[in-house]
Amino acid sequence: MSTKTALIFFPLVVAMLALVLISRHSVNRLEEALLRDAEKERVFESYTLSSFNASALQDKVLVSELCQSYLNDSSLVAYLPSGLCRACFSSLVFSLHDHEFPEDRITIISEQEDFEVKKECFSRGIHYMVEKLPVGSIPDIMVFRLYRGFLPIAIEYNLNREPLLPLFLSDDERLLRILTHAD
Amino acid sequence: MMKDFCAFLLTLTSSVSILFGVTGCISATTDAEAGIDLRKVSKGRIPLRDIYDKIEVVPLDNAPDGLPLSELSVTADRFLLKGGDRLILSYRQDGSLADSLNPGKAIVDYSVYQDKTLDVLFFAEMRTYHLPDLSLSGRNALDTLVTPTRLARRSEKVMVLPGYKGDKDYLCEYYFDTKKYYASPGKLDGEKTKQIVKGMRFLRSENRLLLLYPNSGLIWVCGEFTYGFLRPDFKRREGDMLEITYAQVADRNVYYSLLLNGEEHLLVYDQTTGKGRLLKTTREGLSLPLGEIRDGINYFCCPADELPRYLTRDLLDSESASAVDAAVRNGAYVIIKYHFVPS
Repeated sequence: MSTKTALIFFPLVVAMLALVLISRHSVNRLEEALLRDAEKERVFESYTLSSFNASALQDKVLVSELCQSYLNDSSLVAYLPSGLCRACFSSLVFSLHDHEFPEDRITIISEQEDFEVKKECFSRGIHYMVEKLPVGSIPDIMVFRLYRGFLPIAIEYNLNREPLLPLFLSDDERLLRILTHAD
Repeated sequence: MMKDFCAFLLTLTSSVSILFGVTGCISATTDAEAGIDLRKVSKGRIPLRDIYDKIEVVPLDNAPDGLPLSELSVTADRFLLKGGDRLILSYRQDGSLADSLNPGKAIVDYSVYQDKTLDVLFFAEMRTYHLPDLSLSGRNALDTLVTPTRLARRSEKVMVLPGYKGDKDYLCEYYFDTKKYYASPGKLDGEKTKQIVKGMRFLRSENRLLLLYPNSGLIWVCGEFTYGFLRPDFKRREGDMLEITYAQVADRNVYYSLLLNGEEHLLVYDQTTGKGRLLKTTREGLSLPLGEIRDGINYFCCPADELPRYLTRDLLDSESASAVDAAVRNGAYVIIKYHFVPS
């Protein structure tokens, strides 16, 4: 490409990038505005039953209670897709550790061997497996399954620090197929 | 951002599970799965005393302006009822009016959570994050306006709101921490959707939350941290019309109030034995209504002048009988407390 051509196209590319950024910014602002509207249009109101006063809802941290009550007969299986935010994984492990979830009852399944994850798992006594999943069934999220006997439980945890991760059991057949490998 | 993502995941999974429940794609894990064959269940008439060992009637103070009462909820110390479409009335256990709530808008639905929180739904549209399909890779987009028809709190942080937009059904959830609504479209369109979405309702039973789908009899049992399905396969004679109008799960039994070919019945299904009993009337010729069951008592609200359908005087003690007479004279509503025979 000649210098002259570059001189013509460079400002155009810059202008296009600027346009894209501006439009993205506008979309975000529009989204924020819509959300503000959504708040105004709240379709329900909550009241304290004893007094019928409008109530403020407590943002309760549930994980400690859950880990305590489900500690004895639970096991957790997590599918860790390649390239997933490492902080998510670390947060999960630390959270479960902090709440004394028995680490030998956690199994992490990964599509490809991930040395860092494997090292962390082994150092903590967490089971680690590499499992080739059927083409087309690979989820792009972390999948968890937590058992307490036969009861599925859906939990989320928040240790007042980001990232917040939900743990859940899905009845989605596709996810169940994936997790069947760990059953 | 992460919170959004997480809320998305949680919404998606729970929505998927419920919607798969509607469309019959998951397998239930209860004994009820074995099926209830309405052709084979016991249909004999039995005395009322075989089901209930004690019956009380609590007359209620008249509602302001004589408003009709509906949609009873029972808490530890109160009876809650909708008065017309704008009031929630709170009655004490003795039937005296304790309090009333007028939110200033027409009430579509209300729900009580753990005896401490009252959530009231109004007629409005929710601006939701729309989950365009049930695939995990689908990106969510804002701005699907959905009209909710029911509400119930799944936990302290999540409100479930089934709703519709046009002819399409949506299962929506509101997250208190992110203050956002998420909507997941169902698989059904058109008239069938309208029947299912608008007919489905949240019920409370022994302080648990149930979501009932009237066409299939599917019950979604939702706990604070657990959920599961009761999905009995109702077998019936070809051509029989069946509609489940109410359900309760108490002790080992599932109770269904149902319309079979337009006639009211009570179906008592024992989950442990897999046997059911279909009751149209008792040996005394009385109908068997089903209301909210709590602590072994079936609470049912009706106008006092309808009582002869459900009771005879000899079933009441003298105090209840005179209270009933006064309620009939005043055109009041009453709550019938049916105490189950201990199993």
